Amino acid sequence: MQCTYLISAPRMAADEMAEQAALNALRKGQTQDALRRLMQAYGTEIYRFCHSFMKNETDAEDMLQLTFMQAFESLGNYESRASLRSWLYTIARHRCLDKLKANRRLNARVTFVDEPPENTNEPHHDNDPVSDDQLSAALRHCLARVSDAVRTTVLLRFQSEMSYPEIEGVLQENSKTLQTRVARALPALRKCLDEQGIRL
Amino acid sequence: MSGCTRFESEGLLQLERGEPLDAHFDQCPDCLQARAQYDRLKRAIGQTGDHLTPSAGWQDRVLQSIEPSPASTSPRWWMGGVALAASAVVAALLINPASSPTGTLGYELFDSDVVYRGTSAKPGDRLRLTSTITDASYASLRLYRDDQLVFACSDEPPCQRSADGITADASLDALGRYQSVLVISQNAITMETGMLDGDVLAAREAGGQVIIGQIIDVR
Repeated sequence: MQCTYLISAPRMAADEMAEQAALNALRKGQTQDALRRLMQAYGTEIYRFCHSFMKNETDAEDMLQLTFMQAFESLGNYESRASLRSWLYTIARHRCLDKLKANRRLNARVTFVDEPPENTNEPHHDNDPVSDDQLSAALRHCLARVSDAVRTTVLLRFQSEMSYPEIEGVLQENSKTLQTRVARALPALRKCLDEQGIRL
Repeated sequence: MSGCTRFESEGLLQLERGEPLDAHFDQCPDCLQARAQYDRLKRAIGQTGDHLTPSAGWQDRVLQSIEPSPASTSPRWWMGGVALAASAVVAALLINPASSPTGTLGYELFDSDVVYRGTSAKPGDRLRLTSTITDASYASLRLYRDDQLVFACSDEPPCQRSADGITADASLDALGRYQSVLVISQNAITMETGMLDGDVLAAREAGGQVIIGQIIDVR
């Protein structure tokens, strides 16, 4: 049986074109042009990545903007040890973690119970076929219930379609650890779906 | 799945490691079914964020923030997010000749009569938009909620025009994302779409300067 190669070919080609265009602009000293190209290519996915940390749109967008502001400041020193895309994710992750830490300090005197969002979807009946929308909504609920580390790894893998070496670069964790984490997370997510009456 | 569970316990990890799957998984009906189900799960995870997109104009806000400002040359000035909150755009001053229109756009939030800082508000709070305008014969101060136009004005209510610029007060009665925009130009500009993206595009195509303010999240 052949292994499934998760990253789609059109996605890889688009990423390579965006990287190349940004790198060409950088070589010409056109940092702002490089930034524009990176925002165009990766803005939405970085926003989604930030949203998985911040869990609200306003903070996610603030972190998105801070990520690209910092990227602009650092682009001149960019060394191509990692792809620009991975590099942006790394900046975004640090900005989000900093913000969460600051929020925790700010809220230190108040006790917040960080419960996963209530699943307001209609309970699913096992015999009905599950639509993609129903599945997606139920999965969002399940992803909110797993640890931050698991959620981030799973989303980088399947939402951002990153390879393990790329995820390793962003999260600074060993690939084998990440692979095991994902392989264990999938049955847990499936179990969570089962509990909501969602059969794949 | 009631029978063989090897795909869950071994096959998933083999796939993640990029290893070839054991021959068993080609022949075991339970495992074949499980693999198809996990493939769907992975695709579904990939789609969980599809409904999330950043608001219109976010790229402009980044570009405006990185333009050097004569008021502050410290590169760290904007790193604290101050630039986001202030949303005072002076970039046009540097890009354009002295006779080109220039402007800034800021805001204050009020709970009753008490002003407070932040980018989020609760229903019933008040937003005061404050702009300064130089060398523009046309100016339109606009507020959008969830990308739809709430108001656009120049010297008629809710706007008040002074020699320096335009101010406007708005009551944030409805939940949503409020986005302020200032459009300035030497010529009158028609923006009729009533949607943030369409209006901004129309203003730019007509040669107007578009200054995008901070998003205020009412929740």
